[in-house]
Amino acid sequence: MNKVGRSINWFGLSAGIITLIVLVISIYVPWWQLTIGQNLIKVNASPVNTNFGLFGAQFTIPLIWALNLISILTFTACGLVMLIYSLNPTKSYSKHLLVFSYKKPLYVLISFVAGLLAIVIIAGFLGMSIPLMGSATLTLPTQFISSGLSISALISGSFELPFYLAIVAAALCIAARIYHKNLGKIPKTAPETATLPTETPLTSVSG
Amino acid sequence: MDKVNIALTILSMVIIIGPLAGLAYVYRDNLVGLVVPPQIKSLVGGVDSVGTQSQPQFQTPQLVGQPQYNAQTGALTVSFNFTNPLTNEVSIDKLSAEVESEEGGVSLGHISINQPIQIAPGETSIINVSGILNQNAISQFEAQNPGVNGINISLANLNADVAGINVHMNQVNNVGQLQLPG
Repeated sequence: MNKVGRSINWFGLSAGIITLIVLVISIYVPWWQLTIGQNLIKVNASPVNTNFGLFGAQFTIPLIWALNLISILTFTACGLVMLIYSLNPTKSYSKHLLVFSYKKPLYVLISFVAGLLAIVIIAGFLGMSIPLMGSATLTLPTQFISSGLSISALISGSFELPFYLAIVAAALCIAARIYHKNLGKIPKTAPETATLPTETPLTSVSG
Repeated sequence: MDKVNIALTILSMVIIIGPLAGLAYVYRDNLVGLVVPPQIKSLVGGVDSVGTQSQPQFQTPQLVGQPQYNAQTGALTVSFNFTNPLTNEVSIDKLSAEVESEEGGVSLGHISINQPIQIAPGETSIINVSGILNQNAISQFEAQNPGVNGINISLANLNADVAGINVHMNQVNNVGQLQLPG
Protein backbone atom coordinates (compact mmCIF):
# COMPACT_ATOMS: atom_id res chain seq x y z
CA MET A 1 0.00 0.00 0.00
CA ASN A 2 1.46 3.30 -1.07
CA LYS A 3 1.29 5.76 1.85
CA VAL A 4 3.16 8.52 0.11
CA GLY A 5 0.81 11.48 -0.66
CA ARG A 6 0.19 12.59 -4.20
CA SER A 7 2.44 15.53 -5.04
CA ILE A 8 0.54 18.74 -5.54
CA ASN A 9 1.83 22.17 -6.41
CA TRP A 10 -0.02 24.09 -3.72
CA PHE A 11 1.08 27.45 -5.07
CA GLY A 12 -0.33 26.49 -8.43
CA LEU A 13 -3.54 25.22 -6.90
CA SER A 14 -3.99 28.48 -5.01
CA ALA A 15 -3.10 30.48 -8.10
CA GLY A 16 -5.66 28.60 -10.20
CA ILE A 17 -8.42 29.06 -7.65
CA ILE A 18 -7.68 32.75 -7.09
CA THR A 19 -7.42 33.37 -10.83
CA LEU A 20 -10.92 31.98 -11.28
CA ILE A 21 -12.16 33.98 -8.29
CA VAL A 22 -10.65 37.15 -9.77
CA LEU A 23 -12.43 36.38 -13.03
CA VAL A 24 -15.84 36.01 -11.40
CA ILE A 25 -15.50 39.06 -9.13
CA SER A 26 -14.15 41.21 -11.97
CA ILE A 27 -17.34 40.72 -13.94
CA TYR A 28 -19.17 42.67 -11.24
CA VAL A 29 -16.49 44.82 -9.60
CA PRO A 30 -14.00 46.88 -11.63
CA TRP A 31 -10.27 46.81 -11.00
CA TRP A 32 -10.12 50.56 -11.19
CA GLN A 33 -12.85 53.15 -10.98
CA LEU A 34 -12.83 56.79 -11.98
CA THR A 35 -15.64 59.14 -11.00
CA ILE A 36 -16.14 62.72 -12.12
CA GLY A 37 -18.61 64.92 -10.28
CA GLN A 38 -21.62 63.24 -8.69
CA ASN A 39 -21.34 60.15 -10.92
CA LEU A 40 -21.85 62.29 -14.01
CA ILE A 41 -18.98 60.50 -15.68
CA LYS A 42 -17.86 57.11 -14.48
CA VAL A 43 -15.23 54.72 -15.79
CA ASN A 44 -15.28 51.13 -14.56
CA ALA A 45 -12.11 49.58 -15.87
CA SER A 46 -10.92 46.02 -15.70
CA PRO A 47 -9.48 43.58 -18.23
CA VAL A 48 -12.68 41.57 -17.86
CA ASN A 49 -15.38 44.22 -17.93
CA THR A 50 -14.77 47.83 -18.88
CA ASN A 51 -17.71 50.18 -19.20
CA PHE A 52 -18.43 53.85 -19.08
CA GLY A 53 -21.16 55.89 -17.46
CA LEU A 54 -21.93 59.17 -19.14
CA PHE A 55 -24.69 61.31 -17.64
CA GLY A 56 -26.37 58.24 -16.23
CA ALA A 57 -26.17 56.14 -19.41
CA GLN A 58 -23.98 53.03 -19.41
CA PHE A 59 -22.11 51.92 -22.49
CA THR A 60 -19.01 50.10 -23.62
CA ILE A 61 -16.74 50.37 -26.63
CA PRO A 62 -16.96 47.30 -28.92
CA LEU A 63 -13.20 46.96 -29.35
CA ILE A 64 -12.69 47.09 -25.59
CA TRP A 65 -15.51 44.57 -25.20
CA ALA A 66 -13.60 42.18 -27.51
CA LEU A 67 -10.41 42.70 -25.51
CA ASN A 68 -12.42 42.01 -22.35
CA LEU A 69 -13.68 38.78 -23.91
CA ILE A 70 -10.09 37.78 -24.69
CA SER A 71 -9.20 38.42 -21.05
CA ILE A 72 -12.17 36.39 -19.82
CA LEU A 73 -11.14 33.44 -22.00
CA THR A 74 -7.50 33.87 -21.01
CA PHE A 75 -8.30 33.93 -17.30
CA THR A 76 -10.61 30.94 -17.65
CA ALA A 77 -8.09 28.88 -19.59
CA CYS A 78 -5.23 29.95 -17.36
CA GLY A 79 -7.12 29.14 -14.16
CA LEU A 80 -8.34 25.75 -15.34
CA VAL A 81 -5.00 24.71 -16.87
CA MET A 82 -3.19 25.83 -13.73
CA LEU A 83 -5.57 23.68 -11.65
CA ILE A 84 -5.00 20.66 -13.87
CA TYR A 85 -1.25 21.18 -13.69
CA SER A 86 -1.26 21.68 -9.92
CA LEU A 87 -2.97 18.35 -9.31
CA ASN A 88 -0.54 16.53 -11.64
CA PRO A 89 2.69 18.51 -11.46
CA THR A 90 5.04 15.59 -12.06
CA LYS A 91 3.45 14.26 -15.23
CA SER A 92 5.41 14.50 -18.40
CA TYR A 93 3.03 17.06 -19.91
CA SER A 94 2.82 19.20 -16.76
CA LYS A 95 5.59 21.57 -17.71
CA HIS A 96 3.65 22.54 -20.85
CA LEU A 97 0.56 23.29 -18.80
CA LEU A 98 2.54 25.38 -16.34
CA VAL A 99 4.33 27.36 -19.04
CA PHE A 100 0.98 28.02 -20.72
CA SER A 101 -0.70 29.34 -17.61
CA TYR A 102 1.74 30.90 -15.17
CA LYS A 103 2.66 34.05 -17.13
CA LYS A 104 -0.78 35.09 -18.32
CA PRO A 105 -2.16 36.74 -15.15
CA LEU A 106 1.06 38.74 -14.89
CA TYR A 107 0.82 39.80 -18.54
CA VAL A 108 -2.82 40.85 -18.11
CA LEU A 109 -1.93 42.78 -14.96
CA ILE A 110 1.02 44.55 -16.59
CA SER A 111 -1.04 45.37 -19.69
CA PHE A 112 -3.82 46.82 -17.55
CA VAL A 113 -1.50 49.02 -15.49
CA ALA A 114 0.35 50.11 -18.64
CA GLY A 115 -2.97 51.07 -20.24
CA LEU A 116 -3.94 53.14 -17.21
CA LEU A 117 -0.57 54.87 -17.15
CA ALA A 118 -0.88 55.64 -20.85
CA ILE A 119 -4.28 57.25 -20.29
CA VAL A 120 -2.93 59.32 -17.40
CA ILE A 121 0.08 60.45 -19.44
CA ILE A 122 -2.05 61.34 -22.49
CA ALA A 123 -4.46 63.28 -20.25
CA GLY A 124 -1.45 65.05 -18.77
CA PHE A 125 -0.36 66.17 -22.23
CA LEU A 126 -3.86 67.61 -22.71
CA GLY A 127 -3.48 69.54 -19.48
CA MET A 128 -5.74 67.32 -17.39
CA SER A 129 -4.65 65.61 -14.23
CA ILE A 130 -6.23 62.20 -13.65
CA PRO A 131 -5.44 60.60 -10.29
CA LEU A 132 -4.92 56.84 -10.35
CA MET A 133 -5.60 56.82 -6.62
CA GLY A 134 -7.19 59.59 -4.58
CA SER A 135 -8.93 62.79 -5.60
CA ALA A 136 -8.01 65.86 -7.56
CA THR A 137 -9.69 68.80 -9.19
CA LEU A 138 -9.94 68.44 -12.94
CA THR A 139 -10.09 71.74 -14.83
CA LEU A 140 -11.06 71.69 -18.47
CA PRO A 141 -8.31 73.27 -20.58
CA THR A 142 -9.28 76.73 -21.83
CA GLN A 143 -8.98 75.69 -25.48
CA PHE A 144 -12.02 73.43 -25.05
CA ILE A 145 -14.37 76.11 -23.66
CA SER A 146 -15.35 79.67 -24.46
CA SER A 147 -13.54 82.56 -22.84
CA GLY A 148 -14.91 83.88 -19.56
CA LEU A 149 -15.98 80.39 -18.59
CA SER A 150 -14.15 77.79 -16.58
CA ILE A 151 -15.33 74.31 -15.68
CA SER A 152 -13.79 72.11 -13.04
CA ALA A 153 -14.87 69.00 -11.21
CA LEU A 154 -13.77 66.74 -8.45
CA ILE A 155 -12.30 63.60 -9.97
CA SER A 156 -11.44 60.54 -7.95
CA GLY A 157 -9.81 57.27 -8.88
CA SER A 158 -9.36 54.12 -6.88
CA PHE A 159 -8.18 50.57 -7.30
CA GLU A 160 -10.69 48.00 -6.14
CA LEU A 161 -10.44 44.55 -4.54
CA PRO A 162 -10.13 42.47 -7.76
CA PHE A 163 -7.01 44.42 -8.75
CA TYR A 164 -5.25 43.42 -5.55
CA LEU A 165 -6.51 39.86 -5.91
CA ALA A 166 -5.07 39.79 -9.43
CA ILE A 167 -1.69 40.81 -8.02
CA VAL A 168 -1.93 37.91 -5.56
CA ALA A 169 -2.91 35.53 -8.36
CA ALA A 170 0.01 36.68 -10.54
CA ALA A 171 2.42 36.33 -7.62
CA LEU A 172 1.15 32.83 -6.84
CA CYS A 173 1.55 31.84 -10.48
CA ILE A 174 5.20 32.93 -10.36
CA ALA A 175 5.60 31.08 -7.06
CA ALA A 176 4.09 27.98 -8.66
CA ARG A 177 6.67 28.18 -11.44
CA ILE A 178 9.51 28.47 -8.91
CA TYR A 179 8.10 25.69 -6.75
CA HIS A 180 7.85 23.46 -9.79
CA LYS A 181 11.66 23.23 -9.82
CA ASN A 182 11.52 21.74 -6.32
CA LEU A 183 8.90 19.24 -7.38
CA GLY A 184 11.26 18.08 -10.09
CA LYS A 185 13.84 17.24 -7.42
CA ILE A 186 11.58 14.82 -5.51
CA PRO A 187 13.31 11.43 -5.66
CA LYS A 188 11.25 8.89 -7.49
CA THR A 189 12.51 6.20 -5.11
CA ALA A 190 10.65 7.70 -2.16
CA PRO A 191 7.89 5.02 -2.09
CA GLU A 192 10.53 2.33 -1.84
CA THR A 193 12.08 3.88 1.30
CA ALA A 194 8.66 3.95 2.91
CA THR A 195 8.33 0.16 2.56
CA LEU A 196 11.59 -0.66 4.23
CA PRO A 197 11.40 -3.42 6.83
CA THR A 198 10.78 -2.11 10.33
CA GLU A 199 13.91 -3.75 11.69
CA THR A 200 16.13 -1.76 9.37
CA PRO A 201 17.98 0.89 11.42
CA LEU A 202 16.89 4.47 10.69
CA THR A 203 20.49 5.56 10.41
CA SER A 204 20.95 3.37 7.41
CA VAL A 205 18.04 5.11 5.64
CA SER A 206 19.19 8.60 6.39
CA GLY A 207 22.82 7.87 5.95
CA MET B 1 4.19 15.76 -25.30
CA ASP B 2 4.13 17.83 -28.44
CA LYS B 3 0.40 17.26 -28.74
CA VAL B 4 -0.24 19.11 -25.48
CA ASN B 5 2.00 21.94 -26.60
CA ILE B 6 0.28 22.18 -29.96
CA ALA B 7 -3.15 22.09 -28.34
CA LEU B 8 -2.24 24.88 -25.92
CA THR B 9 -0.77 26.98 -28.72
CA ILE B 10 -3.95 26.56 -30.76
CA LEU B 11 -6.02 27.45 -27.69
CA SER B 12 -4.00 30.63 -27.20
CA MET B 13 -4.50 31.62 -30.82
CA VAL B 14 -8.22 30.90 -30.74
CA ILE B 15 -8.61 32.94 -27.53
CA ILE B 16 -6.95 35.96 -29.10
CA ILE B 17 -8.04 35.73 -32.72
CA GLY B 18 -11.59 34.49 -32.14
CA PRO B 19 -13.10 37.55 -30.45
CA LEU B 20 -11.24 40.03 -32.67
CA ALA B 21 -12.22 38.20 -35.87
CA GLY B 22 -15.82 37.90 -34.68
CA LEU B 23 -15.99 41.59 -33.88
CA ALA B 24 -14.39 42.57 -37.18
CA TYR B 25 -17.00 40.44 -38.98
CA VAL B 26 -19.91 41.97 -37.08
CA TYR B 27 -18.65 45.50 -37.71
CA ARG B 28 -17.35 44.85 -41.21
CA ASP B 29 -19.66 47.53 -42.64
CA ASN B 30 -18.97 50.04 -39.88
CA LEU B 31 -15.36 49.82 -38.73
CA VAL B 32 -15.60 53.21 -36.99
CA GLY B 33 -18.24 51.64 -34.77
CA LEU B 34 -15.52 49.44 -33.29
CA VAL B 35 -14.18 52.36 -31.29
CA VAL B 36 -17.00 54.91 -31.42
CA PRO B 37 -20.22 53.58 -29.87
CA PRO B 38 -23.60 55.16 -30.73
CA GLN B 39 -23.67 56.92 -27.35
CA ILE B 40 -20.52 58.87 -28.17
CA LYS B 41 -21.80 59.62 -31.67
CA SER B 42 -25.03 61.05 -30.35
CA LEU B 43 -23.16 63.04 -27.71
CA VAL B 44 -21.05 64.67 -30.39
CA GLY B 45 -23.77 64.99 -33.00
CA GLY B 46 -26.77 65.49 -30.73
CA VAL B 47 -28.95 63.02 -32.63
CA ASP B 48 -28.61 59.36 -33.46
CA SER B 49 -28.99 57.56 -36.75
CA VAL B 50 -32.79 57.52 -36.59
CA GLY B 51 -32.97 61.18 -35.80
CA THR B 52 -33.95 61.01 -32.17
CA GLN B 53 -32.02 62.71 -29.46
CA SER B 54 -30.67 59.84 -27.43
CA GLN B 55 -28.19 61.56 -25.14
CA PRO B 56 -29.08 64.15 -22.55
CA GLN B 57 -28.25 67.66 -23.61
CA PHE B 58 -27.25 70.09 -20.91
CA GLN B 59 -28.37 73.66 -21.34
CA THR B 60 -27.13 76.54 -19.29
CA PRO B 61 -29.72 77.87 -16.81
CA GLN B 62 -31.99 80.47 -18.42
CA LEU B 63 -33.01 83.69 -16.73
CA VAL B 64 -36.71 83.86 -15.96
CA GLY B 65 -38.42 87.26 -16.13
CA GLN B 66 -37.11 90.35 -14.44
CA PRO B 67 -35.22 90.37 -11.14
CA GLN B 68 -37.49 90.94 -8.16
CA TYR B 69 -36.23 93.87 -6.14
CA ASN B 70 -37.66 95.36 -2.95
CA ALA B 71 -36.29 98.88 -2.62
CA GLN B 72 -37.33 99.10 1.04
CA THR B 73 -35.47 96.02 2.23
CA GLY B 74 -32.88 95.81 -0.55
CA ALA B 75 -33.85 92.17 -1.18
CA LEU B 76 -33.09 90.98 -4.70
CA THR B 77 -34.14 87.69 -6.25
CA VAL B 78 -32.96 86.51 -9.65
CA SER B 79 -34.71 83.42 -11.02
CA PHE B 80 -33.21 80.81 -13.31
CA ASN B 81 -34.88 77.99 -15.15
CA PHE B 82 -32.92 74.73 -15.24
CA THR B 83 -33.88 71.39 -16.77
CA ASN B 84 -32.24 68.18 -15.61
CA PRO B 85 -31.78 66.11 -18.77
CA LEU B 86 -30.29 63.14 -16.94
CA THR B 87 -31.81 59.88 -15.84
CA ASN B 88 -30.63 60.48 -12.29
CA GLU B 89 -31.23 63.26 -9.80
CA VAL B 90 -29.04 66.34 -10.03
CA SER B 91 -28.07 68.44 -7.06
CA ILE B 92 -27.24 72.13 -7.29
CA ASP B 93 -25.18 72.59 -4.18
CA LYS B 94 -23.98 76.11 -4.77
CA LEU B 95 -24.98 79.06 -6.93
CA SER B 96 -23.72 82.52 -6.18
CA ALA B 97 -22.79 85.72 -7.98
CA GLU B 98 -21.88 89.34 -7.49
CA VAL B 99 -24.47 91.86 -8.66
CA GLU B 100 -23.10 94.81 -10.61
CA SER B 101 -24.59 97.73 -12.42
CA GLU B 102 -24.01 97.53 -16.16
CA GLU B 103 -23.31 101.23 -16.22
CA GLY B 104 -20.01 101.77 -14.46
CA GLY B 105 -19.72 98.27 -13.04
CA VAL B 106 -20.63 99.35 -9.51
CA SER B 107 -20.76 96.39 -7.13
CA LEU B 108 -24.23 96.29 -5.60
CA GLY B 109 -24.20 93.14 -3.54
CA HIS B 110 -24.06 89.35 -3.48
CA ILE B 111 -26.74 86.76 -4.21
CA SER B 112 -26.79 83.02 -3.61
CA ILE B 113 -29.11 80.07 -3.06
CA ASN B 114 -30.01 79.37 0.55
CA GLN B 115 -29.76 75.60 0.42
CA PRO B 116 -28.91 72.85 -2.07
CA ILE B 117 -31.58 72.16 -4.66
CA GLN B 118 -32.41 68.66 -5.91
CA ILE B 119 -33.86 68.34 -9.39
CA ALA B 120 -35.48 65.06 -10.37
CA PRO B 121 -34.68 63.39 -13.73
CA GLY B 122 -36.25 65.26 -16.62
CA GLU B 123 -37.73 67.88 -14.33
CA THR B 124 -37.51 71.62 -14.89
CA SER B 125 -37.06 73.70 -11.81
CA ILE B 126 -37.01 77.40 -11.02
CA ILE B 127 -33.95 78.33 -9.01
CA ASN B 128 -34.29 81.50 -6.99
CA VAL B 129 -30.99 83.16 -6.19
CA SER B 130 -31.39 85.94 -3.66
CA GLY B 131 -29.56 88.36 -1.43
CA ILE B 132 -29.64 91.80 0.11
CA LEU B 133 -28.14 94.60 -1.94
CA ASN B 134 -25.92 97.24 -0.41
CA GLN B 135 -28.10 100.34 0.09
CA ASN B 136 -25.08 102.61 0.15
CA ALA B 137 -23.98 101.29 -3.24
CA ILE B 138 -27.51 101.89 -4.60
CA SER B 139 -27.50 105.42 -3.24
CA GLN B 140 -24.07 106.00 -4.71
CA PHE B 141 -25.28 104.80 -8.11
CA GLU B 142 -28.31 107.09 -7.90
CA ALA B 143 -26.06 110.02 -7.03
CA GLN B 144 -23.78 109.26 -9.97
CA ASN B 145 -26.71 108.82 -12.34
CA PRO B 146 -29.34 111.39 -11.38
CA GLY B 147 -32.77 111.00 -12.88
CA VAL B 148 -32.56 107.29 -13.70
CA ASN B 149 -35.48 105.17 -12.52
CA GLY B 150 -33.78 101.81 -12.80
CA ILE B 151 -30.44 100.04 -12.73
CA ASN B 152 -29.53 97.56 -15.43
CA ILE B 153 -27.67 94.82 -13.68
CA SER B 154 -25.25 92.09 -14.63
CA LEU B 155 -23.79 89.23 -12.67
CA ALA B 156 -20.08 88.83 -12.13
CA ASN B 157 -18.10 85.85 -10.89
CA LEU B 158 -21.02 83.48 -11.11
CA ASN B 159 -20.11 80.20 -9.45
CA ALA B 160 -22.29 77.13 -9.66
CA ASP B 161 -21.78 73.62 -8.37
CA VAL B 162 -24.05 71.36 -10.42
CA ALA B 163 -23.78 67.64 -9.74
CA GLY B 164 -20.21 68.07 -8.59
CA ILE B 165 -19.19 70.12 -11.62
CA ASN B 166 -18.00 73.63 -10.76
CA VAL B 167 -18.83 76.23 -13.37
CA HIS B 168 -17.41 79.73 -13.18
CA MET B 169 -18.54 82.54 -15.45
CA ASN B 170 -16.78 85.87 -15.36
CA GLN B 171 -19.82 87.84 -16.50
CA VAL B 172 -23.51 87.38 -17.26
CA ASN B 173 -24.91 90.49 -18.93
CA ASN B 174 -28.48 91.74 -19.42
CA VAL B 175 -29.85 90.14 -16.30
CA GLY B 176 -32.59 92.77 -16.00
CA GLN B 177 -33.45 96.07 -14.43
CA LEU B 178 -33.96 97.03 -10.81
CA GLN B 179 -36.76 99.52 -10.44
CA LEU B 180 -35.76 102.39 -8.20
CA PRO B 181 -38.39 104.24 -6.18
CA GLY B 182 -39.43 107.44 -7.93
